[in-house]
Amino acid sequence: MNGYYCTFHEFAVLEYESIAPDYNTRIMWPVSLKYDGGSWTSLTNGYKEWEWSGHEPLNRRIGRFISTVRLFQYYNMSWASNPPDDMRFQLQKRVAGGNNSDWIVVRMYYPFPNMVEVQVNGVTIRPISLLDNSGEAPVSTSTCGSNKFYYFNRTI
Amino acid sequence: MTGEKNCLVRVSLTNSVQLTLHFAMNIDDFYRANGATRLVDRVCALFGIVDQSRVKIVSVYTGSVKVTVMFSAALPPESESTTATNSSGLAEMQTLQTQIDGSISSGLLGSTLAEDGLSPLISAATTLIPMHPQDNSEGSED
Repeated sequence: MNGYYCTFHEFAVLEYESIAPDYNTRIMWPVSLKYDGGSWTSLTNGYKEWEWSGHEPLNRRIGRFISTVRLFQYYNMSWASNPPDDMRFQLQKRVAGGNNSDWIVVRMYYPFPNMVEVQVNGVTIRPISLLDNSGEAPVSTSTCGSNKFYYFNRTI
Repeated sequence: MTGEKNCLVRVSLTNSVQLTLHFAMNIDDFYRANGATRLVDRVCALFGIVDQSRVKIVSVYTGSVKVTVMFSAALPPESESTTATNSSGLAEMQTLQTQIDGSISSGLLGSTLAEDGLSPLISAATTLIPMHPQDNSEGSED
């Protein structure tokens, strides 16, 4: 039997879910998460079949996900199908007051050219405007919801 | 996102209109004139957009100055996101695009921006970007 010993400490739980109209009727998982420079990819499934009619499943699986992530990293999140049109994200809080110094950055590609809007508690967070030669300010890792929208390759 | 207590982030696709503006001016002059803020102010005033957060400048490139502005339709509240449709948002964006196109062809957009030193406007073009049809339909399948 092989055993592995992990020397990292900075782990957290990322909770995210679809809140789009098809949140329980379309399967878009597994969700793949990999951070820049990381040597592994996390694959996360949605919730199991929950609603049944006798022996028949109603195929209503909630698009809700819980993944282990390494803090202070830039992640690529990709989906087996089109990502949900409407989602919410949060890092699980291990203490009631949260921990302001924890952060991750998630990049996500949308195969649609629409504007991608980021809100925090109902307030829209404007994207950092892109400039020539990537000269714009980096995403702020101390501001909840800080974002850039690469409209030419549909990535946020 | 951060581990802050109230950091709950919502990420949503919206019905949108993209406006691409090309000014024959130096990029330094654009920033000196506080171009990004004034542009949003002027555009909102011109098209009667009350919520300025729905107008976003996503890029400012040199050559001379190329600005990409995105307009987003209002999102349904999070509590209604699983049942709401976006058909009203699409209609709103179609109307807005017609308004913007009208102001481009009449020269009103260029003259309004020129009042704030953002000139001359060489070209302007809009693109309507609707969400996929099932999101904009009135009826729900389920």
